[in-house]
Amino acid sequence: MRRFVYSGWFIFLSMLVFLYSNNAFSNVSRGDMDACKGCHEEYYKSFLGSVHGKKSISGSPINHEGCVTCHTNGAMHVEKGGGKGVEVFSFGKKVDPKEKSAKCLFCHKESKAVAFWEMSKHKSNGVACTDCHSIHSKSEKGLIAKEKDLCYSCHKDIKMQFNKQSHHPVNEGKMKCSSCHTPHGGFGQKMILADAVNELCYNCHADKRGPYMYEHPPVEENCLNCHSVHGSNHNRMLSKKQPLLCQSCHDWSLHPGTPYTSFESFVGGATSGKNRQIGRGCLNCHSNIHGSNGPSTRGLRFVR
Amino acid sequence: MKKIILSFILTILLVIPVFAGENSNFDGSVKVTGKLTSIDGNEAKFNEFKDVNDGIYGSIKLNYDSDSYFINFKAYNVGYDDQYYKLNGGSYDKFKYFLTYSEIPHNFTFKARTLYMGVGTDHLVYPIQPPTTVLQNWNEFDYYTKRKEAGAGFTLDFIKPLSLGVSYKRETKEGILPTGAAATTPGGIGLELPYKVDSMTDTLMVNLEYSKKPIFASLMYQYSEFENDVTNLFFRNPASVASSNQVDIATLSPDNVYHKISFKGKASLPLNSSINLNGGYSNTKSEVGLFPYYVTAAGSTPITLSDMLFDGRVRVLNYGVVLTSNPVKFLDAKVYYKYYKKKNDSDEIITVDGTNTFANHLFGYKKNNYGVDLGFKLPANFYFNLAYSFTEIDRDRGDSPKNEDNLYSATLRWTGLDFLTARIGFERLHRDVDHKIPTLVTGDQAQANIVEQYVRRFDVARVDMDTYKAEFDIAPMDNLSIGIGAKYKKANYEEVSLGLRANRINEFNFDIDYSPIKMLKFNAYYDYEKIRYDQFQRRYAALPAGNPYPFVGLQNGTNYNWLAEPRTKTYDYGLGVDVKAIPDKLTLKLQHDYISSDGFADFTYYNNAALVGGRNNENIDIRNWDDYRKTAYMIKAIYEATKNISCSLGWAYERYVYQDVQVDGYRYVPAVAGTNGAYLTGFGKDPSYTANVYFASLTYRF
Repeated sequence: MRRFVYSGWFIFLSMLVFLYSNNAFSNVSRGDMDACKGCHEEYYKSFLGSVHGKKSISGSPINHEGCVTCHTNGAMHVEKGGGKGVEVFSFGKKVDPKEKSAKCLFCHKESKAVAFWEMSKHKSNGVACTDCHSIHSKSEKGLIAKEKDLCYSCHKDIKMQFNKQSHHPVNEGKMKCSSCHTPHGGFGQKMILADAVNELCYNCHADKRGPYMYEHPPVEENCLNCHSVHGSNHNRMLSKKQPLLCQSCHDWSLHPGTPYTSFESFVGGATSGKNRQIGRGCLNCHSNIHGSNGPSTRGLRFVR
Repeated sequence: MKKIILSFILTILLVIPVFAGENSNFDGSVKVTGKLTSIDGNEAKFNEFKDVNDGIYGSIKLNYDSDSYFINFKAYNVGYDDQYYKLNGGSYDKFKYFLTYSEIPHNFTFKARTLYMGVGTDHLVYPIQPPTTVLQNWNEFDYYTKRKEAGAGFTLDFIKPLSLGVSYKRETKEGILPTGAAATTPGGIGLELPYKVDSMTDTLMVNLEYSKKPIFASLMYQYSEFENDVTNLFFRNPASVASSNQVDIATLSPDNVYHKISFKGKASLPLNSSINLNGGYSNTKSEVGLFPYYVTAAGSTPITLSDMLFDGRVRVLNYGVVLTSNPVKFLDAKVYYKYYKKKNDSDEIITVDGTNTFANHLFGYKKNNYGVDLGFKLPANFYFNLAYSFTEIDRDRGDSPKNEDNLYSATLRWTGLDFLTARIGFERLHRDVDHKIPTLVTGDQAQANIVEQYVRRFDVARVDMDTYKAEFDIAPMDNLSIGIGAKYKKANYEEVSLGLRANRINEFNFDIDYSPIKMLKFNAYYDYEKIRYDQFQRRYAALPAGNPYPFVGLQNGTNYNWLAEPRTKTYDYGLGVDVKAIPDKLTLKLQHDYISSDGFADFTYYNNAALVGGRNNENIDIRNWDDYRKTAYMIKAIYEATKNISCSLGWAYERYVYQDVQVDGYRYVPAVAGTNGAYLTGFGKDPSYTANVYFASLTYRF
């Protein structure tokens, strides 16, 4: 029934689209950029279709010197007969990234999105604005590719992490890199969108925020002590597989210090100790590992 | 909320023609996709974060754009479990608004089974003691969660240089997840208990900004309230509750309220410099009614608590200052100081349990961090980056009250050739630790005094961690680009006798994009990763006599040293081809992706007397250590029938094979007593699947 209702909405919206699409095509404004248009008509058109071609935005290039606002020196370029990078600022690979970004920051100096660009790791690693954005693009934020593909194109190791069997749903399109990171720089480590890792995680995992009567200190200090958040071969994005993950801190008499090997599996020959490894391992009993309000030592040991 | 948002979206769409006139542009697309699926095996894993099933899928994109106004609307997977809607718009330089609604499924295991009745409530019961182990009589259910998030917000820019942003979102989460309980404690059987997830989180954010050269300032307030409808799970415990009237209790996440006020600011200074400041203060509260008893085989055991209500309260104060400077063309500098303090002002509850009296330990910490980051532009297109950071952490933790981290890094980048960018980098973390023997909240302090001399926990242990990196981006021709990267990371926890002693990570990445002719494009990638850990432990049957150093102390069949060396090799590769078979008309896309992970845990017992029951140092190793392979193929043909209409036809195949020591040979009740015993529910069982998806779509663009 629910899907039927949604499908009804969808069909209705589709009909609206057909009705409206007949009067839809534009008569775009034209700046005084005919000299550029003569040779670069594609770029000219895309520029006018982009946010930088909007006359209602006081600071947009179309309200200044058009193409020359960013590319400079148009007259010399024409005089010398054109050509890639000839007497013109081309944003090519050879150009210093700082110089390229400076062109953008000249107008965006008061833009809140890039207020902390000077602190960005991207800046110090030689990334320019135009490595990710095209001012000719009509797309949202002017990105030159889908966000995850754009980030993966440099962060290839991270791409591999997200391919692993346990991962946050970035490849499935349910999250973006920018759900957690600010590529333009900020105060958080690794350019995260928070002052500490746990604060970031709690934005979506508010159930882990506690505060609990019995706390697990490494959990409270940093989620990354146990989780590899881009992806892991181990379930729940654990950085190591349990019980070994837990045992790397908890060596004690009897079960915390006991090795759980192939014998302590469903099919193994052990006569005791299997329920510390099979299924969810330590969590079969110590399930409240993020914190507990359970009574007495049951809460203290996270088993209630 | 969802209805309001959808109605509002529709209203906005109806208003579009009012704006659509001269100097305006209205475009978008409508896409209808039909899917036929064949899923053999674990559908929950295949559809872990999605909803791919037989049916008709609709998506729509609408964009209205004029000189002054814009409106964008997107809808994907209309009516499905992963549907998504977003409407955003505004007037350039004046205001912006957005409305969103989305659903994200997270499927874990379908057709799980439990001996309990009442799954989906906060009471799990069964009628007869002991519970039946006949699986056919157990109840079937699905482990899943579903997040539904509705949000709205606006930004007012017309009051420049001020700007005000307000956003609100409500997220509800529903489903069933597993919790667990030791049926008797210590030792005994384990219980896997399905609990109902039913919670709501409201988040409000208000952001006031001022931006006019040379000042940027932002003041933000965040309010977040988490309400959980199921904060306790009541269940009958097969090991300890003989009477059906007596129930055991597992506690779940408590409600909480979070407030944060924060500030960020920047002032531009002479010499191409800026000073950047931030600060924040947050307060998190919870309030939980405590249980003055717990349940054992003997019945309910009363305890005395100093307060029946636990008031949780955590306050965080942080601030930082960062000075950036680019005084001369060849130098970029950043100097910073950051402070972060988490103060735990929660109630200290004193528990009297028989002869045992103890209080909960309240954890908090304080972190001071400062550093410098220098970038030098050198001759011959070299760029050299040098950084140092010092972090001191003081924490309320008995074993490691203080850490000092020294982090050094250097990166050299070269762009001397048009077609090549090369980077090499090195990073060293040296952590010093003030290790102590903790005072236990409760338990055997004499044992702690012996064992804790040798235990170092990896998150706070003394460590030397080195990372080496090299990356090359090569583009010898306009139609060819190649990326090569390698990373080696090693960590030595030198003071560790018991615990994680070392780890090593090797990574290699390669990718290539090549387009030999205009109508043909190839892309390929290969990644490899090898991880190895070295973990040394001691098994104690009881408190050792005297103070034996683990390596030379008494070893026998129940007191012995052992080593675990888990190793994982993971690689993935992919190959994609785009062929423009008929230019501007027909495009064929082929994609193949593969990932394989092979884990192996090598165990060594250092005393033969412990190798009993057929064990030897070869057959105790675990070969099925999160092993998996995923193979995917996709073939798609896209035909551009007209300028406005395109259709596509395709097939996608995915095969996932998973083997692991924790689920292979799965049994719901491996035993009904002892430490081989458990009542499980099948969580994570048999995640392997093979899926074929046939799809056809029709897109109308305008």
